[in-house]
Amino acid sequence: MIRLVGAEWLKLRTTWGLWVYVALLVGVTALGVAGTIAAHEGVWSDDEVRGVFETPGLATLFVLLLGSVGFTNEFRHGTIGQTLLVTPRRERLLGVKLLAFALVGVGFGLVACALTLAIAAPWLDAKGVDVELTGPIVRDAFAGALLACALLGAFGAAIGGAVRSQVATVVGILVWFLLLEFLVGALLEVIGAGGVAPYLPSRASGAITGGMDGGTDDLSPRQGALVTLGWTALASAAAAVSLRRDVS
Amino acid sequence: MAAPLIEIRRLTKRFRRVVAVEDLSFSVLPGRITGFVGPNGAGKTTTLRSLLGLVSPTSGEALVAGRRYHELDDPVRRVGAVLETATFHPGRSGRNHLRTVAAAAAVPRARVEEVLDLVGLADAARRRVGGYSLGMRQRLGLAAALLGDPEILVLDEPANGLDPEGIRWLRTFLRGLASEGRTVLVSSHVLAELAQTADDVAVIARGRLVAHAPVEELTARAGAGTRVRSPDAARLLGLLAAANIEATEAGDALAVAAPPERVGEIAAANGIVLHELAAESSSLEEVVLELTGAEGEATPG
Repeated sequence: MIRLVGAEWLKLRTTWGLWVYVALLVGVTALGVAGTIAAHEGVWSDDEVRGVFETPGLATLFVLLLGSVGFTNEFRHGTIGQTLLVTPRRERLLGVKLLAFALVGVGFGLVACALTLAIAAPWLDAKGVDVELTGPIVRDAFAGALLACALLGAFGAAIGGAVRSQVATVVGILVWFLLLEFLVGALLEVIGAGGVAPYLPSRASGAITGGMDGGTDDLSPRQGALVTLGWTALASAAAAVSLRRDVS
Repeated sequence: MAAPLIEIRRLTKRFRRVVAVEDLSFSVLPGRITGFVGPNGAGKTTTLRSLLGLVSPTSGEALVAGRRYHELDDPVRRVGAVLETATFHPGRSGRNHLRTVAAAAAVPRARVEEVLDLVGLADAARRRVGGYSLGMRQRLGLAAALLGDPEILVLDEPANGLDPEGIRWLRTFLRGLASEGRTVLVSSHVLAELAQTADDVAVIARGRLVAHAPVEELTARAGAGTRVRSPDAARLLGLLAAANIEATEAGDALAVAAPPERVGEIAAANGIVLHELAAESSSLEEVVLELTGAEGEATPG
């Protein structure tokens, strides 16, 4: 299993796609942190400090896309045949992909956390804001981001395995996470089922990092993680069924 | 007799309403090259993909080393396969492609360099596969198949897209593999590509097996395997008849239902002068056409 996960990592790092994602991650995180600090005026509240250190949560969208692209690449480029020749048991391959992209997610999360720390710590210090770097604010924010990245990496891979088509997967994820879920949430509100909205994937995974939108009706980080795990399990089950199909 | 290393048993595969393979049975004996021949769409790829566990049969089974592919403990070391139109991630270099396969199969890295040398891709190994010619891709596919140094090779149309030089290279290469005692099942829609390489040929048409025999036997069935001219034609005719080989006069030459090697040997053994000895290579293709074309009207067997 470790060997196969290592092979997945090798597959990923021998194409330029990964490095585009890393570059985007670095750029977006740096901009996010710098923008938040630069735009701030006056006294910093604990919540505002927390907001800065929750920036690594942005990595989740990249990780989600990377997981889905990573798996659907096999179908897009037809390498799934070769992969299955080496790993003929399909459930096993699915497990390998989930684990590999969860780990890659953690890696992305770590990069984002390190970058956030590198920018925010000296800058806030220079502004005279007292931040306890080993304290609960930073620790919880970073732990949440890492957990969210791990889950969404696996979630993305599972969706990719279920859908197989790269374009459909990527477009579907972007449309759902950036637009459709808000519309569905609003619709649920209208029909009086607004209580369901926080359980939808984007809101639930957002809750892990501690409320990117800070809505009061959001799940707690722990609940968010559990619900996201549930979505991942659901997508994995769909992927397991989808992967049973013939490869031609 | 050794047990067959590849066994197709009453294999049937239906895709929705299309029957790709129907009640197909044949086996491949150890240490032999078996050609798997049939027109495009005859069911070759479906059969090979069933054998490799990529397609699940509707009924029947396809066994390799006595087991279904996914039941093999270490498939890469037992079976090497080249899938039809071998596909790779275009952005990855040839070497890195092989490394990913090697890493997953726990094959040492040094073996990657070995197989690159073996297929003559060492110089192009750093280049991205996207820039490879079709022939280079086929070679890369072969290299991947050889990573685990397997005893069995399953190759789907490896000659596809190769130029004549590439086909010659492939022929020598396959012969080399067989001489090391490996078992090879290789498909092609052109029998001529395999006629000088394969020991046995299984012919498939519309999903059904229409012939499975040693190449010589198929050649013999063609009725005109060799064209031979001799000043002593009458005596040669008699000798061929004595050896149970069909031969007829065709103009100033004889049309013999045996490969040139056999005719030449008989002539030499009896001190007969030959003015011409030529293989009628198109004849094999005619047999296949006849076999595959007749299928459907007449019941085989």
